[in-house]
Amino acid sequence: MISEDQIIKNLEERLADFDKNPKVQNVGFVEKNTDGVVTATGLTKAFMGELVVFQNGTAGVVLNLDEDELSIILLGKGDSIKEGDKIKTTGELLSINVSDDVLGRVLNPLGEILDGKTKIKKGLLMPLEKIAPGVIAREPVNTSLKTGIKAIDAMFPIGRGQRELIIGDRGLGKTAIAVDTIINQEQFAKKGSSLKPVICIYVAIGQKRSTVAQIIGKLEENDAMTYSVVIAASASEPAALQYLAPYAGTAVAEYFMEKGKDVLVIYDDLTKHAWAYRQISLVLKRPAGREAYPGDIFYLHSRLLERSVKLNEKNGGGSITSLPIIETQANDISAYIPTNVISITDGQIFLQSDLFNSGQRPAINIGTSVSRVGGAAQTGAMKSVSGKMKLELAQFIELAAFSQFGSELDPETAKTLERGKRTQEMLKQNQYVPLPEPFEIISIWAVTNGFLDDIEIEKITQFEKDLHQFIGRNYQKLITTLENGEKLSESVVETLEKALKEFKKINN
Amino acid sequence: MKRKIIKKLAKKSFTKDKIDEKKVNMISNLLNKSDLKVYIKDLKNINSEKIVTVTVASEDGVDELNAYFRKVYPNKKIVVNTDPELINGVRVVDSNNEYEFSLKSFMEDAFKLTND
Repeated sequence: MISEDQIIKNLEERLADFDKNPKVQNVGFVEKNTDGVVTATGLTKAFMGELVVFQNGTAGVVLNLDEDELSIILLGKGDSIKEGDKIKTTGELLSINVSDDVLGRVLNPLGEILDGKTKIKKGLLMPLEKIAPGVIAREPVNTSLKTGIKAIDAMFPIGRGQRELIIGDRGLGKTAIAVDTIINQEQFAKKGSSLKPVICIYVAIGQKRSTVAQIIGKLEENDAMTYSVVIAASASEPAALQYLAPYAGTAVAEYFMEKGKDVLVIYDDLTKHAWAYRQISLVLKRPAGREAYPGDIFYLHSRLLERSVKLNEKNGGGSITSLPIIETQANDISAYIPTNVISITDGQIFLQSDLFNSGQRPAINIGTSVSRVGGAAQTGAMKSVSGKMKLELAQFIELAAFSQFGSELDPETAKTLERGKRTQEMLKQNQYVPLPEPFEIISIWAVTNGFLDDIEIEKITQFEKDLHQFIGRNYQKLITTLENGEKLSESVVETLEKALKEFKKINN
Repeated sequence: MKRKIIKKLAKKSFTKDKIDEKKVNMISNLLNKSDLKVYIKDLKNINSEKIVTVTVASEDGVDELNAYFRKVYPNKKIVVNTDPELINGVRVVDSNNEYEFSLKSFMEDAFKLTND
């Protein structure tokens, strides 16, 4: 508890340092206020992206500088702003106040609290717009970010510092993948973990408040909020706040990255972000291009995602991994915004509606999904089991289409089909149940080595669950060895074989 | 009519730094409604650039203040107002630049600083 004398001493020191020079401000006046954009005159010294303050205290950002006037987007309600109102420049770029206190909190893009808890302690002012780190400051992605989802960790592994797009129609589980990834980081938040803990930032753009509340509830239930931050600009917020939300999320991430930490940022979703920017640009009377988007719509997302980086040790060794989400219409990944973001990111996880409807969840299309980082982000153990599975699945998908013609199949083809069906069944995973890597490896090894060939497809999920419990109880040493991530040695393979044979004997 | 031409006309409407009524009447008859709005706005802006508004807390020493600012801004008209809310000090508005050195602003900033 600070004493009264200390408080007085602190105040006296601050006031003594107070600047005695006159306050110089550049002022302007409101000419027009339409649709969240104010046209103003004066403000001759305002610069692009500068934060300005209106007479009634509302903040705005300068987005257009014309010869005789400028356009300001409002960061709050503009109902009480009328013609002739005074506007003052602040000389500052739009920034967000970030300190370690933001962990576990829900904020808006301006850093204002939305969860009704205590005020955030004053920390660093992180600018929303910043130039991405240069090539020299970076190093290749070499550490895995485990999502806990078997299909992704095995076939489309994500590394820390990578940008992996999650793309698909509405209701296919894009947010579910993102939330499961956040929940899975809980194991690394504990002390003694082999990998650095990951701080998670979930940016909700243009979503329903009920949906955001549901996600926060789920994170709290799984103790994930202790290492997470939620930045929310819901559908009822002005387009300006929805436009700024992803940049605010990245600014918070950069605060932690510059301290050497690994951060995961989820942008849910960038389609609504593009819509908000289109709305602002049309009101600013900027020339409209394809689908009425402004000409710099690509730059909107490229400058955001380029800030996701893996820094080298000299620059702190921190990283920002991003999982941007894009919503498609009718599985069309060749539309304007999806193709833009696909070309920026280091891979995509494509969710397909017919897979979802047939019960394959997560509904990941293995043919069109990719991770451009690939094996560099995988542990040796996972690499040694996943390669075979991916190959078998690819063969199965090719043969499955062929087998629909109903002709008699040779034994080899029939075996491949049966193995493929069991692999697909094994890859199904419930929501909110991310798996630690040792159990993922056990499941994949079991299916690729034929231990599931004699199990009925409908019973595979239960078999897998019981197998994990059995190995967790009786083979702790094996789990610890697999956690180390080293390539499977002969002794480990022998132990796996022994464990599975033992389990199958008991199960029968 | 082009924006730049209207601006030129507005500049030409001044004689010896004052608005020339004859010129304004002649020009305004040539303009349509929307151009007239722009012309009037430009006239206001140019006129405000020629004025420096000095606001003080009380009327004490207004004459000395007037003389001082006439030296600082020789080509502009000085308008002195009083606003007791300043408490003490002065606020100078020159075009769209505002220079504030009042006790009120000092106290507001100090309060904000201690609050932070």
